[in-house]
Amino acid sequence: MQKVVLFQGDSITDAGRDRDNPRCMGMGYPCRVAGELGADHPGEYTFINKGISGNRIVDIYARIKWDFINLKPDYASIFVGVNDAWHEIEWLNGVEDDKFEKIYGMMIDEVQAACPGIKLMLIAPYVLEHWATKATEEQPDRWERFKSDVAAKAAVVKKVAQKYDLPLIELQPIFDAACQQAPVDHWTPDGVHPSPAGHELIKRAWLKTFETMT
Amino acid sequence: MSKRVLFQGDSITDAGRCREDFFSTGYGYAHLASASLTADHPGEYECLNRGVGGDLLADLYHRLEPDFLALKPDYASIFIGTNDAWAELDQGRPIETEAFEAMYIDMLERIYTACPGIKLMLFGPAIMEGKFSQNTDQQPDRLNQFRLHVRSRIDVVRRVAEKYHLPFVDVQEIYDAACARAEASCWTGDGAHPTPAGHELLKRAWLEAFETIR
Repeated sequence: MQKVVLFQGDSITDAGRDRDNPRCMGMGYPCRVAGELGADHPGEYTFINKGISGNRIVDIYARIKWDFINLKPDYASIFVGVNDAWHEIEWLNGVEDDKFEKIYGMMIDEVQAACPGIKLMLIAPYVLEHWATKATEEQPDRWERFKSDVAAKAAVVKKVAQKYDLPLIELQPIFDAACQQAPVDHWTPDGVHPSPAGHELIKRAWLKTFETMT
Repeated sequence: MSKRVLFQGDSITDAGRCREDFFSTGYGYAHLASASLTADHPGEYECLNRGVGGDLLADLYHRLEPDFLALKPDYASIFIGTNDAWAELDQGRPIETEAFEAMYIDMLERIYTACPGIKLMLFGPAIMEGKFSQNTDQQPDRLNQFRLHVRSRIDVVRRVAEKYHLPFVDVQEIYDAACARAEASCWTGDGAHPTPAGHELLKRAWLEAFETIR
């Protein structure tokens, strides 16, 4: 019996997948994870990517049945938070930290109740200073806000992971270290979305964490 | 100054890349290999994918100027020939390898003239069992015939690689070994196009071959 592995998240997970093809993994870290695990353990896993571009925690929570519970995943990674901060800075349409924490917790409670034995992995958001996130004339504090607001969301994800004793990937230190090695635009074209090399960093962290769950 | 790496081939190389995006690498082995390469060696390589779905060798030959020579790559892999075998099979033509070999050699000569010092590696065409290649009522020996047509191309590409002292990747051998480990559906959706796990195998072979020329 194949184990179902679900990738849940926003555009970074979505990564241009074809919504009409349920087997399409997109061009980001899920397609590499599926490739690597599929090659090393052929036939053991089925992979489903349900990341949707622009999603905040409230959007993912809204599709908790159709795109999560009903798929009966054995494993799932959840990667959300950057839009919760970004959309506030951009359109006053974000999700505040306490609400983010509350809904994140509700989501985990409901998923764990509906899918007994499910193994979850949480991925905390990161942000880098680039054209989508840097200071502008209208928003001179734009980068400072991005930095602190995304860090706050990452701190909540860490808190939730500790509360539920779930494995956590903290991407900010990984990307900060990478930016010591090569310029920021090597890892992201805009400050939010990873380049192919950036997705590779996420994939490697994902696989390392997954090893601790199997 | 980073070195330019070109992935050239048919749909397996193309793998859904965005034609409007100069740097899009699709979701296949070209993407996987370039991500791994650029994550490990930031700033050293720039990867371009110019695979085009459905291409025969003749199609690649005809777009050689804009999609190869003008790009002045330092490294390139060429993965072509499966569609030649396929077209021949479905048009009921006999195996015609002489023209294929002559055109392949002419293509390499044009490449070496336009891009002196370029380092090349050649991939042999390959097929697995799937809806495009399996036996049917009308063609009870289709898979075997398909493999024969592909085999004749593999032999040509291998011969050409030897002539020019280039690394040769025997994709058919990789596929056959994989299908001995797990059923073909783990590695291909239709016989011709790899799954993410299948692309992962190609990626690993690509990286291994690249190590010998970089």
